[in-house]
Amino acid sequence: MLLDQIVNGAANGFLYALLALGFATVYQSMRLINFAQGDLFMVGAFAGYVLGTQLALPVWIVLLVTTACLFSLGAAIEKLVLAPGAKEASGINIMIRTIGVSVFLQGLALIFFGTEEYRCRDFGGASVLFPGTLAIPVGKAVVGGASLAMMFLLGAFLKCTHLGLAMRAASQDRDGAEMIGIDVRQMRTLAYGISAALAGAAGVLIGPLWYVHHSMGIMMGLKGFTAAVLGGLGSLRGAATGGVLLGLVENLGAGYVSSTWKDAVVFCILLVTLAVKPSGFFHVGGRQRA
Amino acid sequence: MLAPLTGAGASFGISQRNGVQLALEEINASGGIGGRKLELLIEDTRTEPPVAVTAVNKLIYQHKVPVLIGSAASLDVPAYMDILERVHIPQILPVAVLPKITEGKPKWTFRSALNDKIAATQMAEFAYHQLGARKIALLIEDSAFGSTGLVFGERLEQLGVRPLTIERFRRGDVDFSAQLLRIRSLGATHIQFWGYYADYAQVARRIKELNMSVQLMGNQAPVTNKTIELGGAAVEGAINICLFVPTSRDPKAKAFVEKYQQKYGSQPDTWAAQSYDGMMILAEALRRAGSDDPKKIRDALAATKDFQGLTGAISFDENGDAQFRQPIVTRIEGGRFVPFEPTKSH
Repeated sequence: MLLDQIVNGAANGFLYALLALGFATVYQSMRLINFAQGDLFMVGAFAGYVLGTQLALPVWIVLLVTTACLFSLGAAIEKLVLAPGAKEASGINIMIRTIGVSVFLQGLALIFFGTEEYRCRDFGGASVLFPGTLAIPVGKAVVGGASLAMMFLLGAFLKCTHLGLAMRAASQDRDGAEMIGIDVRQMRTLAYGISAALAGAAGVLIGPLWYVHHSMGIMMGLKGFTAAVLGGLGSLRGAATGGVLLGLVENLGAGYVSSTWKDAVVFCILLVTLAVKPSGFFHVGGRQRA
Repeated sequence: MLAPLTGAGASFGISQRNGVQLALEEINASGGIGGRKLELLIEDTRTEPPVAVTAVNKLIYQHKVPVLIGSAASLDVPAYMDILERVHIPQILPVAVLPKITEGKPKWTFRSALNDKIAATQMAEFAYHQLGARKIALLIEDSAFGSTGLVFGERLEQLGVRPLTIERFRRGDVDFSAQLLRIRSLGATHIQFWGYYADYAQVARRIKELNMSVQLMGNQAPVTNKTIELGGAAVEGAINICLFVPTSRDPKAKAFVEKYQQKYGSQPDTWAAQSYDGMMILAEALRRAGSDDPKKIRDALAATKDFQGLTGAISFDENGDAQFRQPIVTRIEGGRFVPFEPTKSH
């Protein structure tokens, strides 16, 4: 049972990690908690449903198209909703705008899809990898694999491309970055787009394991946020670690202690982290890390 | 009539509306009650108790209705039923199953649905006697609704079997693997679920994915076509309890299924049949009352004795609950709810 709990907990954890990465990316570039993160995840799940189930496209195309669409959606939201007057506006002002975006996206989903639950096509049905020993359900392996791939891609983008380096520079020292000719405003748009794309990917991946419905992003957003805080909003590596850890704690807690307290445990962790180590347990030193 | 036509309870609300409207058309086609056609006003509660309260006030004070068909959403009802007790307007509840509704012995509420407490007791007896289940795990929603599942556990203990564990979940949980793996490690052969259909279908899928060989059993709420749509092959063989299955061989039931399919293009579920019965019980009471007076309608409803409906013979007890029920244990076979036949499994 221990191994099974770890495998299943880790699969959930990878999804939390994708959301946590989104929170951290936006936080680093914009010093903003993005309350629409969970709803972008929901939009991604619906996109995955329409493309993967209604149009029956292969998984990798669905993932690619959804990620691209969500990136554009995120960038558009940043440009049209968050950016106007952002320089003079307070942090709270922008944060409230993200709440507006969240409510708007849920409303949109309600109009198009109603309150019903939708079932997505399975990735791998009931088949398992390594039967007998570990028995990892294929669906969960896809989630883990695709999430890891997204994380590495993000890491490579930030470390090895000019654009990625520029984005990091802008998040570390806004004025300095502007001085050397980086368009900081574009970088913010880029960051929000990336975080939306990550949420969208998580949405596509969870579809077949769950149901798609208009309010699915609320709890998921909270969990992603908790994971990000646990690992440290200032560190992408920390946020990802926080996500996996949260998934593990949740499953092991429910398996060995009590499922009644499954969600309570998660939010106790959030409270304890905020009280004991507000910068997160994996945040390294005073230096900003990507 | 109050019905949750949108929101989380929509699939029950729509069955409720369809069943009631079908009955109403038949009543009016045969001349109505005492020569007067019945008129039905429908208010959507959106499965939100505060909206239900507003809707009740609107029906009572603006439209001056003498009697209500109450909401299918169990949690709507406790929010507004005190108003009915105060202003003396009777209601019939054809779908809402929450035990709490009749716990205070309301004078103006009559439930022709199956009290969930009775369903829990019956399922426990069925599991013990018919299935011979001795290693049973409970998996219940962490809410007022799911906690009726505890009654199942209590009855089971009276029979001499302690549930191996009581696992809980929140409605719309992402993943049941933590709970299910624990249940598996305890060696359970049966899982009794208490919650809503989407979670039920999800649990069934997880059981399959985790390759567990357990018999899934559930409460009344998952007896809807949505369960089959969402659960697909995974819900095959799952056992539930209800008052009506569309595969019934009773001629009255057959005629109902045919008319329903013709009108709505889908198979009626237990909730549609119960709502049809609810409207018919009300019509019979109106006939006996012979008046628009809410008090007379209430007394006529209370006097309902052995009403022969699609869902059995119905009389109301002093709590306003329907009596003399013979609930049906149903099994999902070939994407349909059919009556459980002991020879076919186990």
